[in-house]
Amino acid sequence: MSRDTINSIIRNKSLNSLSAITKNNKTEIEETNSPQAVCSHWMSLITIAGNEIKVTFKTQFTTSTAKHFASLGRENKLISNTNSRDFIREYCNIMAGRLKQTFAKNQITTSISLPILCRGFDDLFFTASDRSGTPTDRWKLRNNDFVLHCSSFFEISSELKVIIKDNDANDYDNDIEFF
Amino acid sequence: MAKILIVDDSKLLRTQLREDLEKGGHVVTEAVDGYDGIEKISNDQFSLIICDVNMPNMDGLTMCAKVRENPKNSSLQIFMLTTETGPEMKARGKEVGVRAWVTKPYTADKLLIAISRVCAT
Repeated sequence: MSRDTINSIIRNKSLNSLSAITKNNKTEIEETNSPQAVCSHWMSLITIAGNEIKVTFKTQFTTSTAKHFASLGRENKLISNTNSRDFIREYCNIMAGRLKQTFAKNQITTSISLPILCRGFDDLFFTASDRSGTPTDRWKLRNNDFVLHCSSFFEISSELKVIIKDNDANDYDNDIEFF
Repeated sequence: MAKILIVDDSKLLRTQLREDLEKGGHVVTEAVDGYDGIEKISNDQFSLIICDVNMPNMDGLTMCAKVRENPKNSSLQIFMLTTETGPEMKARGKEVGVRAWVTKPYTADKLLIAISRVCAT
């Protein structure tokens, strides 16, 4: 099982989810050189977990960054500070849903936690050390001068046998299914 | 024009959805979770509920099941608006009489068309 493959899938989901929720295709993935865990005032995180794999996706941001991304999806309308941070929380929710769907298409069952919004500075005082066997990936999502600092931690069970394949970004868009 | 209850723990989503639905000529009430949704439904008449699945305190499918326990709500139209897309979740939705499953992020135009399909104006 390639950890690089899983890292790549998580990064792709983070990007296409942000593009979808902002209705903007100009966001790009950028590498980060920072070795530090703390990058911004605010943090939102969510966990996607099952018997075979557990992923925690985290994004750190300033309020101004949150307002930028939140306003993109609403024709640049002004969004309040609170609603902007809530936007990033909802973004994490959508990202997790897409990742869960990719796992499901690879016959891997997972559940999603509720997304959490908290202070980014918690990482300053309680720096998480990388545990053996728990890969960490860090990257940035940039749109003009605004950056979301992203990271992911995942653990793979020895029960995981399949090679996970990513699915098309267009698999998700704006679906309404009537029963 | 439909009278719609939005149930979602995201304030931003409730705000955005309210704006989009009111532009479509609908009347909107908000609830923050399943418990709040049940209370609102017991105190008012709605044409449609648009409800998230994953919420704190009480999730959306549990709320819908409890709402259906009251016979006066048997014909109430329900849309789930959620990031969940798995067949098991959708099957649970069908069991509690969900009419449509809307994947987040939604498109306002498509949602308004779907509402007009199920709600008398």
